[in-house]
Amino acid sequence: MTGLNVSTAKQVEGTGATAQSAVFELSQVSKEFRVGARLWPWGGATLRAVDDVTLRIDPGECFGIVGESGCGKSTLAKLLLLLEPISSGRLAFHGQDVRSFSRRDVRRFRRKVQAVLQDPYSSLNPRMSISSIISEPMEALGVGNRKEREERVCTLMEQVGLNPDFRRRFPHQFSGGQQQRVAIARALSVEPEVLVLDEPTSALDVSVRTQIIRLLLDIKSKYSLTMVFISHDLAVVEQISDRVGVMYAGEVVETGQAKDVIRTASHPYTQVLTAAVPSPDPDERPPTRLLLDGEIPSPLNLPPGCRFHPRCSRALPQCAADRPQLTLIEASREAACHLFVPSAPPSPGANGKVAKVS
Amino acid sequence: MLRLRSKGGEGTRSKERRPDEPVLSVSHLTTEFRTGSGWVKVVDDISFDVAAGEILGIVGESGSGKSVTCLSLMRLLKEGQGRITAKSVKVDGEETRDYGTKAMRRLRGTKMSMILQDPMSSLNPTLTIGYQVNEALGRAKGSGGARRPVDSLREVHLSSPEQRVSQYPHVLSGGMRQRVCIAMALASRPRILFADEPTTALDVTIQSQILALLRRLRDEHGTSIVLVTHDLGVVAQTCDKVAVMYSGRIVEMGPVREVLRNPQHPYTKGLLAALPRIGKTDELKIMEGQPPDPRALPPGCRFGPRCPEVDGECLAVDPPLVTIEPNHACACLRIQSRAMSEAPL
Repeated sequence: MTGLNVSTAKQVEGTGATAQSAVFELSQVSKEFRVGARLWPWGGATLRAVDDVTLRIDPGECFGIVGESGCGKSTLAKLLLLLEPISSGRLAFHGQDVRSFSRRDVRRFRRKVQAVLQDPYSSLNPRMSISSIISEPMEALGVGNRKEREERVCTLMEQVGLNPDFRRRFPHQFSGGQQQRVAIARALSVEPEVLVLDEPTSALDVSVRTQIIRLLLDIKSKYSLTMVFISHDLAVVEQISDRVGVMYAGEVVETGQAKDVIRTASHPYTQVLTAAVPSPDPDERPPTRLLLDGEIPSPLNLPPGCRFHPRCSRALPQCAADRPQLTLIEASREAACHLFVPSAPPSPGANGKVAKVS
Repeated sequence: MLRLRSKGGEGTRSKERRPDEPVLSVSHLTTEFRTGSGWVKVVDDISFDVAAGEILGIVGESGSGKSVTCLSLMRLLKEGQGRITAKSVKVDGEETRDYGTKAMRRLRGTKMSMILQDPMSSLNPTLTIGYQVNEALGRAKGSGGARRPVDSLREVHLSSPEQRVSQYPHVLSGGMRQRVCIAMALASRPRILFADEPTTALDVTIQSQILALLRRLRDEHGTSIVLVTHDLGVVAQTCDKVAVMYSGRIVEMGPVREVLRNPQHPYTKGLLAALPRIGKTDELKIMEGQPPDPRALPPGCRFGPRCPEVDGECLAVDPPLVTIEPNHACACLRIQSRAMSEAPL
């Protein structure tokens, strides 16, 4: 498998800084799309899907990204998978800027970084057998010969909890949970170092979702994989992630250890987001003051200052003018909110940004 | 356009519901679909009541028959597609079992209505919001009075309703569209509202707004609601009573607090244990396997093959839904025998 050993994961979990290079390092990464430029006479507009995101994803950790629809979390996944070029900022993979990648580097990158998407059925070709689906990435990247690939398909199917005798079957003969297992086996086939999972459990039923979460936790520790886990389901993210980033309107508003961020949210948006998750305990009703009015702003027409201030119950006067930067608020915890910088507002320059934490 | 006349109230008044009678009373409802391998029972012999102003949650995984239950009661399944049989289906005191298309259409306009999961596909993209709400109001003039679409939209807390009436559905966000659907469904002031996964397509913060809206409308108008969902959290925060469905059957039913805090059926227990919860990351338990294929049901209890408490009798006898405590019913032989042995004490 990969050259990583298990102790790497342990080191990262501790707060002690490691000299290791990050798997992904994003500094002020933005992604803009031009929309309606042809359709509308007034020349279209620029949609900022991901805005000024600075993050670091370390080897062996599972980094969760949560947020509501339209917050830019799936666009961020596409940027990490090099499926979309970034508009500005710097995205580095193991210290190397992805903009300097040659075609060969990209090919090598594809082998190291694999994806699992939300809807398992539409990500599997209905005309291909399970065996050819799982071995396709190996064929494409020239891994092994036919016989070795066939053997690997059987091993992978066993690992993800599928009976290898079914490898001649087709996707429609499997249930949603089983299809997701096939997608996971396919992603694992080229022995990747990183798995980017975009809402992998959202289309599944409760009992099946738990099975997939357990499977992901198993393969993560078995192969010391680095994972980027994107979901709108906070409880699932807390279950599986080591660290988490909360996104709102294209920005990361809070990062930190998953348990800390989700259980004791600091940023007002994270607070309302966690309070809105209905608890299955009828006696645990959320405090009504945390119910949010209004909707997420349109990415074409973002409010000035803090993007959350029109909906924020604790907004200060400067929130409408100054855009807060991600600031260290306690050990390994950052939030982008003026409430945590009572003194001088942060300088607008880039050097005021983010001290790295892990 | 189909115009509905409110037929003279005399005929229906005689069938009026007694105050203590449930608004919806379903007895032995079965729905079958024709498939390549014969008739398949998707909803199998279920019975339940919904009292006035009560919110009943029907919870279960995909394929458990929860949506088909609603569609069967609304009679929205296509002719020839399925077969619905029931001993009795009483809506607001009216026996609807033998009603034909016309009579059902009258009921759907006035006494019962429905909102669906995807608010975009339930709205006509080529008509304005105002036109569509007006259409719903127009149908209900006989019973609801002449209200304006703007008032209906204000009632569901849609922002700036004066502008919305002239807008088209694609302009609105998912949460706003669902509010429009609720306004249309409530135009006739129905006695009962079927809500089939109304918040599944929405974000959590919008979900909490819509659920709060449903609760408020229930408090203001006394509308009974049947809320179909797969999310036990939604049930816990919204419903008064819950029915847990598995493979076409109700396996446990009772007051929400009772069922969720003290679950009796092994499926309910397993479902609650398998639910990821915030702040409880160590307690996740896996429920192995998956629901049975309705074309090849296992003998005896349908949950038997997945049940951790299964014994020989379970695999032979199909357990009936039996009341184990006042208001709390459970379809499990082991629970029933335990309850029976404790009863004389």
